Amino acid sequence: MPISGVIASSISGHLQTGNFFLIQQLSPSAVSTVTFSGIPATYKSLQVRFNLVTTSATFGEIQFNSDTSTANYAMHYLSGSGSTATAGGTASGTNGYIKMFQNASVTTYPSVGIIDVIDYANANKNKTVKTLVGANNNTSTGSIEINSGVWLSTSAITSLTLLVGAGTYTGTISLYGLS
Amino acid sequence: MATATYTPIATQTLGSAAASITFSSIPGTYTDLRLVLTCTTSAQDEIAIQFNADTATHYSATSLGGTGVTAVSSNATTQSNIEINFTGATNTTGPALFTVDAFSYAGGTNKTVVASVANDGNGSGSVELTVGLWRSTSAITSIKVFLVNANNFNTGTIATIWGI
Repeated sequence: MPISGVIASSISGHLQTGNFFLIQQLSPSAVSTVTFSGIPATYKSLQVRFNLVTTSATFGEIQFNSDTSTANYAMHYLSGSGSTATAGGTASGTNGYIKMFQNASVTTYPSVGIIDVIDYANANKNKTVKTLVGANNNTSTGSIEINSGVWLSTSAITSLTLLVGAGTYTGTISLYGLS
Repeated sequence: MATATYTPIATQTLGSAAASITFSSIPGTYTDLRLVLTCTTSAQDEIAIQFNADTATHYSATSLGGTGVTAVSSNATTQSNIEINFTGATNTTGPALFTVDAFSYAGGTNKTVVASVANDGNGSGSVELTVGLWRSTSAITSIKVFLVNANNFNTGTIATIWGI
């Protein structure tokens, strides 16, 4: 049972237990896209956690409210490949999505990550996203990244789509609400 | 109705110095696990984890770290543990914060984890992220946290494992 009042100091925003709710969990199998729709506006933030095995070395993407316009997404990344630390980004006009991992993921072994979407239901501001993602397959290169993204829209987020650039993925994706 | 989660499974607070901390008999009833460790150590050292008492070379990791001067990335394959602070070292007086997220820990896939480190020694320290792999499809039922160079966690070190 959750214990109200115990502070988990490492959680974004210093949550208290009892304030973290599973909204929906999906178990996609050999698909290239999944969508969480009908997201209620009753939380302060959203968190997506995923464990996915992909069929291709590819990148992941996030879209909100089925918006595919390149004018509305931008992102920055800081990543490590095992030998080099790199940083970069893309301004709006480049991609119709936020990349949730910039480096290629790996097949056979799961890519994992945590996506935080802050103030997702606020209709007065653009939406900021932070992703922490990683993949390793016991070779000389892996991928560990922290990314920021923005959706240039003041609309409340009511749906969230996760895609891959090529191939399909299989695993578990969970959507949580933070109150 | 949405289900409340993020539940503390167990906490250990060291009443005396110890070389390792182990959480065992972890129930398989959650989707993910998060380990949170706040520690000082008897000497500067690196922290590593093992699952299910597996000491074979089934582990690998890739890290991204900043020392206050440079950003670096490191890689290690076929290891006997996942080291979660490649770049820096623990402190003897200033507490460092470590988190480890284990995803789908009770499922049948190989196990990938992501770790973060916040460690500031007032002029030294590091901030780090690590992805680690345990090449096993077994459910994780125990986690051991220890220091690579056989130093001790100091009294007052706190470790909590959460179920999500």
